[in-house]
Amino acid sequence: MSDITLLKNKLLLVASSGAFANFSPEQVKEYNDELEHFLLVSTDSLDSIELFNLYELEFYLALISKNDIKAKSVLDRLLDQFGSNKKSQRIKLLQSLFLEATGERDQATKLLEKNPDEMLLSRRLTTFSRNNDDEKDNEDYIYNLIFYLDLQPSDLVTWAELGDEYSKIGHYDKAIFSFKEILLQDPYAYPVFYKVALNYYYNFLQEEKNLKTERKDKLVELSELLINARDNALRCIEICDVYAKSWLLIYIISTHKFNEKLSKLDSVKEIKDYLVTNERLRKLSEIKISELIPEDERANVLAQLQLK
Amino acid sequence: MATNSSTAAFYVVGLLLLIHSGYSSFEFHKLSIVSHYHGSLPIDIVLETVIAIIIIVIGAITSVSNTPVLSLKGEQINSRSKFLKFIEMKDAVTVIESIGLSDYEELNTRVGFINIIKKRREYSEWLGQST
Amino acid sequence: MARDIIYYNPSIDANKQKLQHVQDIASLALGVGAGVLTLESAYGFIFYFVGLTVANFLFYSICCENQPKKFFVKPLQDVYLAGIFTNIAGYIMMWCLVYALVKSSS
Repeated sequence: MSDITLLKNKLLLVASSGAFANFSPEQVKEYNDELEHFLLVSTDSLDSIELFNLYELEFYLALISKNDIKAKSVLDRLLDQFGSNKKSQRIKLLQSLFLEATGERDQATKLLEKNPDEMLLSRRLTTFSRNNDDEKDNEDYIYNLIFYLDLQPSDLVTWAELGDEYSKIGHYDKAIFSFKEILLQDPYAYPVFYKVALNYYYNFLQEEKNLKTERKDKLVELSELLINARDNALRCIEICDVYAKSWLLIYIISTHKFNEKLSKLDSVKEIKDYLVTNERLRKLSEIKISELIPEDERANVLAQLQLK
Repeated sequence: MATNSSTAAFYVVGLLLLIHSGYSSFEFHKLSIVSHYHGSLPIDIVLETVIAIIIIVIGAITSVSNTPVLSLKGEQINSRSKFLKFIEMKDAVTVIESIGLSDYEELNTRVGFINIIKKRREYSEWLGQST
Repeated sequence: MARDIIYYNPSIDANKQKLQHVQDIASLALGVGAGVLTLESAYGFIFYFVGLTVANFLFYSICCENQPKKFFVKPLQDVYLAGIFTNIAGYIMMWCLVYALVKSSS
């Protein structure tokens, strides 16, 4: 297997999975250079579908790295090929992105609004209500997302976006509902199980902070959140047992100091079961974490789990 | 299907043997008509054919071996199984997880919702820091 | 421990495709072989069934790495029985062609 094919497969995977949307600036630069070099020397090994997928990736990377001239030239190349197709939402999306990035928001809006039946473009339009300066001020955005989901309830990606937006402003119960909507359609989506677990855990932290009394029924209520978080994290691991973040969450839950408060309540059957399995999970997750996460990265991952 | 050098070698040797045995068989039948001979095919031709077939089958088996993949960081990752892919979900997803992605990456990256302005701002801030 | 195994369909398809690839090539090679050996009537079919089973056995013992359950839902049935009749057409084609070439006495 030659290096060129390996590299090609990797770049195509990045293009199709959209991984570039979460790249750090270093990665963007690195992939930009790699892709440019690859397209220069090995265009022959690509068929036309692969080639245009990589052009799309090149466009995104150029746009993110503020190279507007290059982005424009790649976009023109794509328009030459597909611009005559009036129905292509994918190409119009790229056009609108370019307009938005170069500051011509009105024109981008006009392009997206043209036909209300083009759902992908309407979806993009919802993001224009996002407040770029303050991420927590997303009431309008959430309202628009919900409006879109009323029209297109099977759009899993939008449910995921909605869930994350709710999570940002601390409406964890609503976030959990959104993620569970995804699980209804895709019951093996293990990263989503993790997100459900995480939001239960955040919800628990939130409630715990506001906890004033130590009344029994309050504690039982709280423990339910914790048990839900643990169960969802465990489901994630059942499907994919190398998902390190989920192991970490289990470890944190099983060592949480709230468990000591609960130990007074072991007359309740659920809590007793929970505490017994906790001990086993703590040992197991310790072993797994030391296998899966290198030591120098552990603190970093732990920090991500704190309540924002 | 991936073709590598050992597969090609098996195929070439196997096909040469097969052609050779075919030609021998052809000659044998021609001669037996001329000389009115009524025996069966000589054992060496039979053996050659059988060996050729086995070599070709082995070549086909080597051609289905798994190809390595590059992770996002550029490391080469080999699958834990040499030829086939694991069908249990928890084994099968380890390959894509080790690349640094998952099959549900779309739900995490959400390109359709990309905040291009923010990404560009981050990039120029990083550029300003590093120079 | 009784639990449901979650199967990963892309892998199942990929494995079947690989098996199919091996069987395709094996049945064509067997067809050529049968022609070279100038087999006739039932002997040709017996040769096919024996030959393909041997090829399947090679696949089973080399590719499955002693844990066939990890790669096929029903290993024996999927490897040995599933492809046997679908590949017979290719076999007969090569058999007739090579037979005619070898036996031609012009």
